[in-house]
Amino acid sequence: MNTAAVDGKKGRLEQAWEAAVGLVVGLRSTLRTMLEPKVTVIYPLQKVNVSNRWHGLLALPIDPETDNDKCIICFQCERVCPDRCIHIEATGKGKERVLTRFDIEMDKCCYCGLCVEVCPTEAIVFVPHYEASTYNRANLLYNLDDLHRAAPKEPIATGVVKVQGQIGSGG
Amino acid sequence: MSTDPKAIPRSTVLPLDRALEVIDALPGGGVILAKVEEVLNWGRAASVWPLTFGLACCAIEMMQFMATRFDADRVGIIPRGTPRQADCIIVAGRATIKIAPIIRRLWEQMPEPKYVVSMGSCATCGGPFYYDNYSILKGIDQIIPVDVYVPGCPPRPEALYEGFLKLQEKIRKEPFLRRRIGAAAQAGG
Amino acid sequence: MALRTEELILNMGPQHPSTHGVLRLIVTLDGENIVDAQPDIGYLHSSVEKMMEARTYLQNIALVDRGMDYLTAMANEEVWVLAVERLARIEVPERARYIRTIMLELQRISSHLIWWGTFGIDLGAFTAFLWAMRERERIMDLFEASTGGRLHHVYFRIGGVYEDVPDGWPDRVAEFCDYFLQRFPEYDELITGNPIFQARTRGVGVLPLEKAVAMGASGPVARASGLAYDVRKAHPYEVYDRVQFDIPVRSAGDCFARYEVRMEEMRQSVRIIRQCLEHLPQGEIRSKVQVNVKIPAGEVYARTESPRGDLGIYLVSDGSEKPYRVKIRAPAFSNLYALTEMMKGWKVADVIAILGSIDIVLSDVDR
Repeated sequence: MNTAAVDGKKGRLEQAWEAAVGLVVGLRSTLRTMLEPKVTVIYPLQKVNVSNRWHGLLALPIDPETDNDKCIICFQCERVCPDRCIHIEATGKGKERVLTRFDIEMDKCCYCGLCVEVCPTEAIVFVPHYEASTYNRANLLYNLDDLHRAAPKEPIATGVVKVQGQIGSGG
Repeated sequence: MSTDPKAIPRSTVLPLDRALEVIDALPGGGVILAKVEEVLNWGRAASVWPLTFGLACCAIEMMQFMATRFDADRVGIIPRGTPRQADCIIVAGRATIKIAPIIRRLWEQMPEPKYVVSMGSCATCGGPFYYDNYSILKGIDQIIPVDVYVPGCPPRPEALYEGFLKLQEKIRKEPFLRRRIGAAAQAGG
Repeated sequence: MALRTEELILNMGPQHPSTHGVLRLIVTLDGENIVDAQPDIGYLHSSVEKMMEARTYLQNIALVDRGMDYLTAMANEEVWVLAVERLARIEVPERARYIRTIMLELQRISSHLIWWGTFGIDLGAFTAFLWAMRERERIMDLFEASTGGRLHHVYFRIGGVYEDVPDGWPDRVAEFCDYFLQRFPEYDELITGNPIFQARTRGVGVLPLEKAVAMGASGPVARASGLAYDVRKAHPYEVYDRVQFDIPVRSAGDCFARYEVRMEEMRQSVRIIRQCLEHLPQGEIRSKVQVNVKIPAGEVYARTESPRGDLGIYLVSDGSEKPYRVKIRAPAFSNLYALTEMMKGWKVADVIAILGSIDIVLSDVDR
């Protein structure tokens, strides 16, 4: 492509010719892009497939065999969290420990995945939900029931609920 | 009434409020107002123009939200550079204490009706920068009232999209004409 | 009678569509000519260095990729992990080193794409922004598939990387490289060869070589002024000593030279990625390191070439599981200092072109 600098010494005709060529080249580029397939995702009618490693919301899914979560109350996730947003309390001793409180402050969480990494039983995992916006900040404190449900606490906006198709690109 | 400027009683009641009173008093007036609000709210919700106040990492996801793949212009979102032309402010990223007066001033410069979207963990509550930190504001709702919180670090553009859909729902339900009726009566108009 | 003139102080405030983040520039103007330009920074100071003293070495990986330069999260993780590994003499398996290099070069491409897009949109070429974001989405899909995050990854660990890349990922990266190289002629057609763009950037904002060295500029800013220094060649880390690549150097020192250096760097990054994919070995990706590892007492300085320049971390350890002191040498901070030299004598309309061409990220400047 002609990349000569505009140095003012060219004649008017040459400058006009260069401007016309530049215009044609630019328009050609525009037309070519116009005829290419579109990359826009018409969210919320179409959604992008998130990869299966995506750091979405955290959850303690219920294991169908034991009908409870897999947490052994080892406190490793609470210790490794850089933002100190996991709060665990348990009563009892040894193997008889019972979980009384498992809160995760989703508004502080930075979704780094260190808690998922250190959990010895894979009790705490990422779920691919990411639509968790809310009007009220208190709704971002997820307690044990919310974590068992593995879904955002607040209902998703109505425009999103009717999804027509998925577009694959992640995962 | 005399025409001496000092003699005219100052009132914040506009002629609009008097008209609303009159319409409300008619039989079925409430329904008329509700329908008018529905149409006007539809227009307002479909063209929210945010002031993009991108501070840190969430600003990049906000830029991706407005760019090719998740086109924000489809729902009427056009980013404006000045608060005077914006009706929403997206605070994207961590707000330090040094920039807090600026955020407050920008919010005050926006004309009513205005909305605030807090994007990301840091704008919501300080996020990862909550503990052991001497310079980050622990949540922008300490200085301005927030309408929608979008959590994530950073939230995906689709998550911000859902946040905007929630904001649109909020705008659509807003009785911004009917709540002025009481104001007229209170001011003694 | 002589005409009395006054200098005007123009405040380009922290909220401005074209300052890349919250930078405040106090520009003193004589008519349209810039007499002086002082940056006022600190609007994004997040006390990262202090916070790092209260977190263990593993937790710091989550902090370091958002608290510093957020456009190149893995370059920050790399310099931190390199510092810790050097101090504790931890070996990194070969496959992990190759994966790290591929990730770093992909970050370089994505960071330069954002620079290209925002530079274009600052100068009025909106299309550049949209195209850059389109390309960047493909890179982010690659990152999401392997690390799980689009912008913040927390993927590197002390002793390797967190988990192996999924099957089929190297082929997707190769596909992306082919697609990306095809796009370059379009970019040149639309932006590089555009006479308006050339008029706004050629010869504008010249930084002479002595000034660049004196002010500590590094990265593409220094290489565009003639300094042939790249940390990847001078102090190689990871597998940079085993791959062939060139470092683009120009001598003009103007905005267009910086532009050319970065465009060429993107091409060289594709070249490095292709070589790494070819020689990617099988094997382990992580050495066994405890979660709360105690690093022996001592100090170390590790430096890497981030897309902004020479990024370094000076780490002092006292033998416990948390660092005693971390000092980050941020490249954008020194490049911003060089801005004060670059702006003098130009017109106020050139402020945006010059500011865009040095590619600063305020999170890197302020930390």
